[in-house]
Amino acid sequence: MLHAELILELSKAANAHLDIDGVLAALCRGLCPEVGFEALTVLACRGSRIRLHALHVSANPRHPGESLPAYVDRNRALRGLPPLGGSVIPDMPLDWSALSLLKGAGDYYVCEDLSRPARFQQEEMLITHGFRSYIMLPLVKSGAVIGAIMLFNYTPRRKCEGELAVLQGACDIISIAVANALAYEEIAALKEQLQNENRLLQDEIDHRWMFEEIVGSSPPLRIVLDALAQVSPTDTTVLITGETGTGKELIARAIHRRSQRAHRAMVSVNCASLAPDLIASELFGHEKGAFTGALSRRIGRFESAHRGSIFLDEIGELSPELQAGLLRVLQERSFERVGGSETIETDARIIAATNRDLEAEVEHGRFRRDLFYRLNVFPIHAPPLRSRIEDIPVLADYFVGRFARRTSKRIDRISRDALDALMSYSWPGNIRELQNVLERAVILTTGDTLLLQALGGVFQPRPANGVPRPAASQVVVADAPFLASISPVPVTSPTGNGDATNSQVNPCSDHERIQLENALRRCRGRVAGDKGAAKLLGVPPSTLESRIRVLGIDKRQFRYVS
Amino acid sequence: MLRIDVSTENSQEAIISLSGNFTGEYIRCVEAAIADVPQKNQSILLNLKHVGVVDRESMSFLRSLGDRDIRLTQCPAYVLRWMDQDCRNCS
Repeated sequence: MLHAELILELSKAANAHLDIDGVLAALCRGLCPEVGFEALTVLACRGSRIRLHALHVSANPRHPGESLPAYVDRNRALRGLPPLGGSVIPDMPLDWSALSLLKGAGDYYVCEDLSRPARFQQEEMLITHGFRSYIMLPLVKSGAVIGAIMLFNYTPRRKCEGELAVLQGACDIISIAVANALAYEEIAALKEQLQNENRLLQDEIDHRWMFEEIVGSSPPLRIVLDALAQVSPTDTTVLITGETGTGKELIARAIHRRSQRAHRAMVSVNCASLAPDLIASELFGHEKGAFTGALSRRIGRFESAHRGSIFLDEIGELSPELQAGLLRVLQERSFERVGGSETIETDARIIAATNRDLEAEVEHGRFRRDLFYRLNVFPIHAPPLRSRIEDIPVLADYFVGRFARRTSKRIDRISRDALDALMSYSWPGNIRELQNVLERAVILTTGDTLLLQALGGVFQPRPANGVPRPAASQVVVADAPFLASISPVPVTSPTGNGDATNSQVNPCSDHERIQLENALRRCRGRVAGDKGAAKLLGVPPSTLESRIRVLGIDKRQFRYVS
Repeated sequence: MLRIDVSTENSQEAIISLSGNFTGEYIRCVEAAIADVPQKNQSILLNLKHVGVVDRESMSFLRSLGDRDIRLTQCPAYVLRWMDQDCRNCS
């Protein structure tokens, strides 16, 4: 083929592909008939180091999705060489390779026989792959050397001026095609990063809409808010504990929003929701071909959270291997993508959460002690809803308002008995359960008042015969020994035996306080009379007044209007 | 994202385990993994225990594996029902 025709054909073939593997395959097809060679690689420069970026062996092309180490091993196997076991091919200093001699377009380096004493350290490695000779040409973009292309033979070769003239003529085309492919890869990676950030920001918008602020003013919540205000401006790692549905993610988002990192993303990962084999990829990302199915490079959550915060929910579910990986991130603030050799530094603030007792998990050997201490720098406990029932009216009002707006309804009030029922329930699913109950109730409400009937079965009043309603074991009063002991109606005890014969007041003031407050709440602070708490509890009003004084309960706080 | 792991430790049976979301773009990767299993006396088992989402294209592909003596294990119930429904619609 004429030189000009060859250049034209190479140009067409190389520019028909955007990915580097496609470009190499096209170059191989175009150049092989003119310059005999068996394999082609691209080396990319990064500062003063170079790394293998792509490889194409003409007799044995790369499979879709196959990792570079796996491809190298497959070619070694064809030549009867032992596999490298999928280990990552390391990068190396520039001066270990002949590229250190090549300064610009038109330069080249020919090694006729690698079995002769090696001139460069890279050549010793090439011999172990079965190669016997190579030609290296620099890849030049805007006058700067950005890498090299190497043409290999498994046999010695003679320097041939004709072949070199072809290669020198084609070098500009090859440089442009490879530079374009590398730029395309970079654009694809940046596009993925932008899509990733966009998705995360969308998540954030959803969550902001879901939880505009933490609602309530009860003492347990005030403790949390005080801790939150103290820790937010720092970069300290926070461990949030608490039952499911208590708003751990809401606390994490509040910490992030009040921190100096608020202008960057907060990235959430639910460690329990990911397939075990994919958690490492999700957290640390992976290189293209890191495993079968890794069709492109993926940026992990730690990388996305750089200079922002990462929220690791359900941290207690992490496998021992991932615990070790996370420990390294906490200690060294660096990691490698799965299948990658490049160390990536991260400046992500870590906020972890769990509903497990991590100390017990440590004692049972299921959670690393060193990781626990790294995470437990500033613990915050999210209180269960049953310990902050005074927040229920304002929470209910907040959720009803929100769901009413969403369903284009106007609901101005929550009826007294509905509110009583909500406050008498133990909420094992905490705020999430309250939210779901009220969402359903808003849908069922047709007027401007949310009624008890809309709340569903668990909240319906007892039948007239005094038999406890079916879900009585879930009602707060049922868990209260004091009220259970003096209530005139049978209620289920914590053990479910309904024993109501003991008439002594329980000395435990915490329980007593809860029960008295529950009764006062149900009676809107009234003590005496038919609708008073004393009658409800079956004790004389004077006794109840005395206990209220002793316990320092302000009964006026219960005179709210529903 | 889908991860494909192949175990050929058992000389009688090769197990291909999938983790993640199995969508159409990954079919060629699964096909390649199946093709790479040595054919001598080895049956192939596709373990779908850690698979989340399966799209229509992948469901059809999974259904077609039955004709090739490739067995599915720990397949999500909705995928089984979907394959069954698809099978009935086709017949």
